[in-house]
Amino acid sequence: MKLTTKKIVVAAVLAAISILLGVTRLGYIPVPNVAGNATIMGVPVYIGAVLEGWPVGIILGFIFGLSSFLGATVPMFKDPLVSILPRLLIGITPYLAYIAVRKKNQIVAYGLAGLIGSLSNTVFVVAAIILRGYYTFHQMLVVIPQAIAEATLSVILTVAVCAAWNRVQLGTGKSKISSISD
Amino acid sequence: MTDDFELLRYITIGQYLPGNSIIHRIDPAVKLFSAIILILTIAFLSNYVANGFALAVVLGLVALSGVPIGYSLSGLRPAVWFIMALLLLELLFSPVRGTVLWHYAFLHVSTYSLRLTTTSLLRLVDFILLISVFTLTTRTNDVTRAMERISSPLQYLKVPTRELALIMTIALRFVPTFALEMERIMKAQASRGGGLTQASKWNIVAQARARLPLVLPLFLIALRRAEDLVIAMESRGYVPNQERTAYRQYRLVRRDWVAVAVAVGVCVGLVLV
Repeated sequence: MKLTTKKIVVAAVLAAISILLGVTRLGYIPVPNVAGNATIMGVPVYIGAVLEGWPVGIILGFIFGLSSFLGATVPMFKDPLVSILPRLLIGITPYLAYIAVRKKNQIVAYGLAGLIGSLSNTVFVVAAIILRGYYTFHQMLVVIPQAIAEATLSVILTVAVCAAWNRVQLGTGKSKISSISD
Repeated sequence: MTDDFELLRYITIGQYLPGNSIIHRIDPAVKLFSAIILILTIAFLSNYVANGFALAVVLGLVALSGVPIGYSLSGLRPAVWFIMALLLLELLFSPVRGTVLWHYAFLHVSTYSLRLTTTSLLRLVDFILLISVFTLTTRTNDVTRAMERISSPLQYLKVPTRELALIMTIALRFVPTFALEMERIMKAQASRGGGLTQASKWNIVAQARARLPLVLPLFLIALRRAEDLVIAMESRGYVPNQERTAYRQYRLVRRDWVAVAVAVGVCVGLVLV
């Protein structure tokens, strides 16, 4: 895959945001459940995949996985097969969702990319945890509230950032988000 | 209150402990390669003897590098209770295999679940120590160059390894810059009476909306900076996918080869135990 200078730099700044959200804990949003906090650290990955294509998505997924592996304090995420390997895929799925729908409606395509990205993150990571034998399928059901929270946050953030950046009118009434970028 | 606005102090990336130990002097690429094969090997160990041996090796490395062990493990402190809860869950609710050692109602501790819990705890400690030995004895620039050198065989599979290393370098360079931008945004929102609203924990949409005024400008500022950087790089003649030279050249000496041999030997030994 050939990378242009623009792809390289956009991937780099989004990776920086992902790392920043992780180390400052701003990327974690408290959700009442046993499995911990919902995280929006994956959002830069989905945005990168939407704006610059799947190669940038894979690279961002790798960096997201790496930072989650290095910063992990729980046994299962200190396993590269759980924290890094599944994350390589979460840059591809939102891109596919986006190109499938973008001809019909940009906003829906952004939202779908955020939704599919977040859900594939949950599904692939949980699958890796089960396959590696840390917990069983029934034990992993506790992540459902967290998965819903993460999907909601991802959709809202992906739509807001991509629409503002590409200057797509959201038409939400009193305050237009697209006016922030001017 | 002002603490809420100081983001830079959370950033521990690129922390380096100067020293002159043998671990400091080994070539960064050799260190990274050894760390990766050790981590992958330890990830697959499942019996007590091999895990004990692995812990001994890792503790030996910590001693050699002169990294204070308490400092390496300090990252665990805030998560101790969470880790205990997870381990307890693993101990009591794993499928019953082997001999049942203790049971009460639907709770079972079997030899299998005990082994699973012990190995995942040991693995966590091993990984944290290994990673901190590597990152605390290697400068950030050397880490990214090491990643580039190790992954260079992947170029034959058309993986853009040089570009990946450049992405890592730019990303690490921008983290403190964006932390400052984020502080500015938080102060700007707070001075307007906005900022981190106290939305109910259960109201996920309100939680998300509360983050929007902070995170959205950050993304847009970052993307705008990216555009500037593209122009700056291209006007200085940067062309992607080209061979590049570096100011600092690395040459492997005897101790580097010895280190690789020892690391491979330890991994083979761990698998055979």
